[in-house]
Amino acid sequence: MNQDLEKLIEELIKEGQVPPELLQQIQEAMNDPSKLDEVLSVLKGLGADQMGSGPPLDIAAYYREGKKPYALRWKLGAPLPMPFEQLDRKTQFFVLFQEWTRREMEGMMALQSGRVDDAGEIFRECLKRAQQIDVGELVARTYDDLAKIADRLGDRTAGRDYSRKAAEARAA
Amino acid sequence: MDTATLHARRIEAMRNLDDGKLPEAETELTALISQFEGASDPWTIGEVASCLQDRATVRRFSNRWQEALDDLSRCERAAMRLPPLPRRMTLPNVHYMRALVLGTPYADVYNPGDAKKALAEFRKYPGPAWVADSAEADIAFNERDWDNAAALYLSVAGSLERESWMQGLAGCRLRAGECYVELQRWTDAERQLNASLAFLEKSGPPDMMAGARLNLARVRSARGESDEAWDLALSALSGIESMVRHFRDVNEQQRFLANKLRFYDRAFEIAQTKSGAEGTWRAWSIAERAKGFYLCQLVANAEIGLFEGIDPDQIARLRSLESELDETERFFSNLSPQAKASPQGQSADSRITSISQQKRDLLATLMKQNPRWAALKTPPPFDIKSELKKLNPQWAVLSYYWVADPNGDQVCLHIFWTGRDRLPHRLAVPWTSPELDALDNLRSLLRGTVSAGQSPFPRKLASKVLPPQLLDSLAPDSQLLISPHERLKGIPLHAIPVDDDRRLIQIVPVQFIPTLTLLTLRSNAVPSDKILLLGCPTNGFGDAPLPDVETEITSIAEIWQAQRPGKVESHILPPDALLDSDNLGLEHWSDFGTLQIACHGTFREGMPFDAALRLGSDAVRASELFSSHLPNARVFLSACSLGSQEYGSGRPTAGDEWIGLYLPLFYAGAQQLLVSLYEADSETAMHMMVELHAKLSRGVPLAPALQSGIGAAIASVPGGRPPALWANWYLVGLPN
Amino acid sequence: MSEIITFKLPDGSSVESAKSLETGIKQIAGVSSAGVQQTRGAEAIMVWVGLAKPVMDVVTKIIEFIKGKGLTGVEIQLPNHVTLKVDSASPADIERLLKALREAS
Repeated sequence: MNQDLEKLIEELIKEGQVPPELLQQIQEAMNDPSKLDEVLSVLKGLGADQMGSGPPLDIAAYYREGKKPYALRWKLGAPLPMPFEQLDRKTQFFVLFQEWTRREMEGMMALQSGRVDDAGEIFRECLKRAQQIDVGELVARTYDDLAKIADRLGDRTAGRDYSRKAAEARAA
Repeated sequence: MDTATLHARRIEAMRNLDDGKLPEAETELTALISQFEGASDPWTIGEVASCLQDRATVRRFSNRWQEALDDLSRCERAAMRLPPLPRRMTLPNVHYMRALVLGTPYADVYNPGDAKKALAEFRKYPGPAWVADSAEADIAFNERDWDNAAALYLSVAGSLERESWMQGLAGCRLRAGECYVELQRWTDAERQLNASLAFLEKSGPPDMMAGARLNLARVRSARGESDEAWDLALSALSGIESMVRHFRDVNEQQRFLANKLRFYDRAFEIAQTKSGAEGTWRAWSIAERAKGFYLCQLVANAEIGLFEGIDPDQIARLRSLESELDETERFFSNLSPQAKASPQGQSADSRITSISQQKRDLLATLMKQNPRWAALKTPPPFDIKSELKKLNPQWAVLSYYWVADPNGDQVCLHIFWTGRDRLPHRLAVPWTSPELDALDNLRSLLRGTVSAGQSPFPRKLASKVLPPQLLDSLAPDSQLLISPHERLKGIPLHAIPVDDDRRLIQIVPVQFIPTLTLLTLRSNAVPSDKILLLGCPTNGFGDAPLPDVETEITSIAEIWQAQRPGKVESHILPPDALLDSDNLGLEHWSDFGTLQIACHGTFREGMPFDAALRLGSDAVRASELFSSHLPNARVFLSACSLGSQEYGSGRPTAGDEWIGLYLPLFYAGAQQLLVSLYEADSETAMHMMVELHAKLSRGVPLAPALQSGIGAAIASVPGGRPPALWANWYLVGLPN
Repeated sequence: MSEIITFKLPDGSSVESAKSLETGIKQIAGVSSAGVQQTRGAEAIMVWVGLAKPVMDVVTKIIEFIKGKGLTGVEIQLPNHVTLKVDSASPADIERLLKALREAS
């Protein structure tokens, strides 16, 4: 593995906070599949996949057949080998699902760094993304993230409201 | 349940904590831990570790320190089963919280050395600087290093504000404000407290909001704004009391209250800044509010049946434990002294303690589970002036309130009284350590068998509790209602010497009341005119026969039959009597307005809810009396020690509770109780009770009737009956 | 009220034996009052004695009377849980007892 990356991950373990350089590397890795696997593999070995919003999701399990293709409403994090509109519907779904994952992680990192307003904005976007592809679990996780912000700000009424919506989205 | 739901329920439990609902938070977390602690997948293990950590927080706020530490140990063990990253996120919090628990001076696990070790473990995990500063700030605060603590809290506040941890920010500002109050930097204090309150008034939690209001009250008070300070102090107390009422188990409530009584002491200080009668009324009302929470909560909710809506299997289990306890006690009591000391005897004795503890735990569980207890009514607001005005003017009222100086060892007894004119009076009497020791020593002597030569109240302390001005104000028809507090609870104040020959009750009838706030819960209903007399001279527990009992019951029966023919039911129970079989069970007692029970009584230390009347082969226990119904009755327990209260460590309980038979009997609806503080001399009891009933039957009010009864008991021995033999008789309840 | 000392009878003693002791003790000069104390809880039966003045020979006479009745296992109980076994009480013990009685009053 890239030695710098190893050092940054050690720092993460030691400090308990994501160093900005690591965050940048992870973001770059999200956009570069050749690097992504390595980063994810190391982080998984440390148990990073057992933190965050919940267990990793099997994207295929959430796909439902339909006729209407998806629209691309937000800029992609990394360019695709072909235009989004030319992808088959299922592949479009996978791309949008992974885009939600990317943005949600960015939101969590903003929250962890104390950038609460940024995190809120990102999560509200994530909510729309999840609603677009109609995946209840993603909607629920986004509401859970919004609840975290509300609780942090001391607004337990809003926190409860978001938690209730998360439960409803999971049950639907 | 999936981990998402587990997580959501845990988060909701912690929101309950922030709403001030500590018992509810703990119940939910306990349910989650019980259900999932054995899981093997890392997600669930991580959530369980978080549940344990959160429950440790709840227990810390409830002042259940050792249990909090136990949870942290379990959390640590769970975290060690996690992969490196999630483990790394959990362990520092464990060490940090451990340091907080061990470093709290009023915690019973307080150990500054171990707290420092825990902090050193925490520091091995470098993290955001503000976390370490927060721990340092708490340590400085506990050590009363106000300057340093304030600076650290404000530094932490800056970091929290940047990261939008708003409740934490409010907490730091509150603490900084409190530090400035201690430093008398009023402007700085006000700035921080106002900023904190702006958040807390919207979002709570209630105890922090109460803390902010109380400290702001201290600032206002220092500036001479006594009315504004008073309003803030009252709001603060209401906030704390709203949290206290969530605790349905008396022990848990006591633990929670342990460090909250300072709110009352501070409010008391603030009250006194108002001059004149108004200041005295304010201070007095605080003194009464500090007494008897649980009792008032029970009485205010007396229409809620304790076992309503409870799983019948659990009630059956309780009944089964009661039977087992009776059987084991009968077995043990019937052993010879040598057999009691043998291994078999000791085993039975241990079994009694064990069953009693199981019963107590089950009773606590039932009370917490009763769905109707979740919607407890708050006792009505207490306006002391108005309540005392409603009393018959013959009643003079005397009340005590102890205040310890938080900065030193000084203890002051505040004495309040009012006479016929209902003007309030107050006196502050400082007590020295030897004097306090003498009082504590007296309490330990007035338990169990008390030697006839024991003085029930030392003459040298008389002037410290009975102001001469009060005695001078008494009229010939006066009756004295006394509201004791802490060290003076369970002390026979009616036996205070007033001159060389006489004691207080010989010059004025005396009655006690746990707190004057009970006056708001008085019932105007007329009690039944029927009288129940139960006597058991020889029981099935092998206790020594009591020949006076039969004379007592027979004499009292004759007295009442002459006055209320057809309204008297009288029974002398044989050793093999079983109340239910003889239709004399608790359900039957609800028909009577006067109940006289003469028999052996037991009150074992540490088992207050198993204090019992031994009737035949039955032991009628305090715990059973919770489900009895005694509407507006007066209950006379002519038996030993049933007026005792649990003291545990030997000191009165935190919230000034009257833990013993008082709780179930007042909850059951009784208005007055006559009980014995320690072992009751049988012959004295007989003389006293017969004369008491003779007077009652002729319409004499209860307190004067008791005065007369004691007079008769004294006079029944040439030269006078020693005071220790009659001072045990304690009349408690609402004045009629 | 005069000073009070209490004599705890051995376990298993009857009320009648206590009353008999009381009657006898009352006859001793210097005894102002006496009574039987039987509680409605513990098994102990006691006789309390009021002493007009707690002098050595009144107490000594009471002890001699108790021993004269053939009673063994009797304990003298004072306030503050001070106790003394009658069977083995020496004059020095009685002095200490009287001192404790004066201090306790």
